[in-house]
Amino acid sequence: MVEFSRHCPVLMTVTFLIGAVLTPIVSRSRKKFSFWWAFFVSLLGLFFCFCAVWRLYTVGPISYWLGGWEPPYGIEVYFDYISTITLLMTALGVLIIVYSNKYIRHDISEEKLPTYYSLVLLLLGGMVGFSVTGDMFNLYVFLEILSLSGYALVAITGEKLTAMASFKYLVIGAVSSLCVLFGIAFLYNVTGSLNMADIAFRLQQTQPTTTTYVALALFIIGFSVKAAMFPLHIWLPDAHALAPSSVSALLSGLVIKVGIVGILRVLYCVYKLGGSVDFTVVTNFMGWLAAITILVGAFFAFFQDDIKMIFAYSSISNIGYIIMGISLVSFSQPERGYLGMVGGLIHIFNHAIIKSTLFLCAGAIIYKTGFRKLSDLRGVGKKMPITCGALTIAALSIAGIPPTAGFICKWYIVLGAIEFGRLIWAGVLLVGALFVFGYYIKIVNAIFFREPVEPITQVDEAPLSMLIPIVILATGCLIMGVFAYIPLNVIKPAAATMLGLPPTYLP
Amino acid sequence: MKKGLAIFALLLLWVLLISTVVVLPPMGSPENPTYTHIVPRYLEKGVEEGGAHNIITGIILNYRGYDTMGEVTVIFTALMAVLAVLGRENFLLHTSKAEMSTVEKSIIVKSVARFLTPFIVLFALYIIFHGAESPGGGFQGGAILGASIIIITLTLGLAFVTKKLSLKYRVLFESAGPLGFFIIGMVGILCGQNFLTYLLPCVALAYQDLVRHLLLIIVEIGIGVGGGAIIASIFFAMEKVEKE
Repeated sequence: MVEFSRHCPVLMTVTFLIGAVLTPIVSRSRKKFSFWWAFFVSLLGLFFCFCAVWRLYTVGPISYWLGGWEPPYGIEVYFDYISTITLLMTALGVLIIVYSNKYIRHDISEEKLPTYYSLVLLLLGGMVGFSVTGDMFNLYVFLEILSLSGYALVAITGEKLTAMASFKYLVIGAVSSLCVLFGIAFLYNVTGSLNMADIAFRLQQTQPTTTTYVALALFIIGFSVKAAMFPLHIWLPDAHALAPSSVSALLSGLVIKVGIVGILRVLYCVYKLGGSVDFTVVTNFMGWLAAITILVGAFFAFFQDDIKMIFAYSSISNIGYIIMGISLVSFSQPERGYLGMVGGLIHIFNHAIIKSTLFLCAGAIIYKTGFRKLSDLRGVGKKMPITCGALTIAALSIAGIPPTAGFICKWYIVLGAIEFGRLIWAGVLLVGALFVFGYYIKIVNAIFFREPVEPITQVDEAPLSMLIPIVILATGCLIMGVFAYIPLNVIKPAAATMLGLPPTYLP
Repeated sequence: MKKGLAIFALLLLWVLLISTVVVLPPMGSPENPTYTHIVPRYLEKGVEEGGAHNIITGIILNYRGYDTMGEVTVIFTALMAVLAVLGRENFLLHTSKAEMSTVEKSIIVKSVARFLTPFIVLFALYIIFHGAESPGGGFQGGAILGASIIIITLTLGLAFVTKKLSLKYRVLFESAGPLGFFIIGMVGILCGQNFLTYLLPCVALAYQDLVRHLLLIIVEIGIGVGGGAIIASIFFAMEKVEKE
């Protein structure tokens, strides 16, 4: 078992990719079979992911040499504490595939089913591969796989509006990928290496040049677009709100986190604290932008009527929280950034679960009623109690009400900001939280406490295959809040190792 | 205002990139880190370790094979993206029997295309199989293979080509690239080595080189056939939209 689990980080990526490639073949004669195939593949991927995480916590980080070539010469896959995010990705992937079975047939024709499942598996495979790799160029390759499949999934319904949104996403996303590629090329020119650990080592050996700094700037710009940070967020609302809801859940829950994982990898694995490149100027700047992001996202969300638009803008706001958390870092005292880092990392997990719940609930409501405007959805809560109950739990959770998941992360980030001496950031965070509370109260008020209008009175509860993922995720929101020590046990070593502290560090 | 801002941002990016290129380590200088760190190992031992006389092939299929597997998957993703937007070619939508161009084609063009296609395919196969020894390989051969299919489609019509190359088989060919890598990778794992290992200790020493060569050729064929089929499929899918 131990011997076998060595292969898991690669096997889980390959499982998703090969599963995606085989989808059109296995469902050639029966298009509906593609669902069962995708479900099976994602379960297999989840299993390999469990093995890898189990090995991480019993034996230690896995360094896997592809083809047996030692790192700077070949490609290294490195499964460390940041890579535990793959567990979240694969688990959410399974749930979203289960949800898709009923939901997606309502949006696309049966002809396109294998294409849809193939693209979802490619997206998951790209994200998993991205999160576990230890090689810069490999990072780019998987970034391309996941971005391309993301653009296609937004446009899959074939309507004019989604095609426009997808095109906007494609153009901005392609430029951002190009920025990342330029950054990799510059770093390769300076260090002559593509392996992250090797680049980090060689950057510490030499004096930083203009090229090093420009490469850093390009990485941050490129990954900020993927993460939808403030001035670069314009593609997100359309793409996330107009895509089919299962795709929105994937994009908003997971794909924007890929940008954050990229920033984390570049800052803390390549440029490294204690290295010769001082990036606190950059992280300070990012922190201020994150503060603006929080306010802008929350402000626009407040004035939306379309529920999916509200959730999409709220994603922008939450990305602000995460980036604020991870940008609280100082070179002289790395332990000062610890609380903020823990908060930022745990919010990656919590926000993924919460936002997926919200989008899946919105999808179930749209599937049943056909309405997406809040003013049309008055009183839907009495007709679809389970879906709307889950929506309420998730809404409370994202607003940060104590027994739910969202509270822990905001608590840690605020504590981190105060300990760091950035009271303005803490203030912005609290104001943003108030805004969030405001617009989620608006939703809950509309769906539960208003009198239903005519078409709404005739709907009933969503089908079981959609309810199961929703209920599991809503329970997840509660569990992550009530038993917060479970995710914290996973996150704390990750935060500590990233700041260069021992994994057992406690403040 | 918006336009001015965009131009300003582009100018800023331009200045940034140019200023970086100016201070890059000079091209061709022996102190350049790109020449001193990893590349010497590739140049010195690449032929014997990589298993291919063409060092490029050795690097992209052996040292960095996982990247190539990713790139092949990117090509497959591109096909899936096109199919998600445009859908497969569908004859039921056509009123006429799918002629690409309305211009009458002379018998000379048709005959020449028919006559040349086997030779183009042969050339593509030569490039694919000879990739380990000389410039070329799966990607280049696949592009030529795809081009040959496009040429006969343009001259003889979509109906003719899709009958010869029916969807049933094309679906299999499209996934050949990643599948080739997967098979090779699993052979490595079953032999107790890492994914994508070509030199297998479970094979008798005398045959190791032969086995490695065979595995490399399987991958090359996969990339070539897969690439060609994907180019053809994307081309066929685009045809439908023009007719609509």
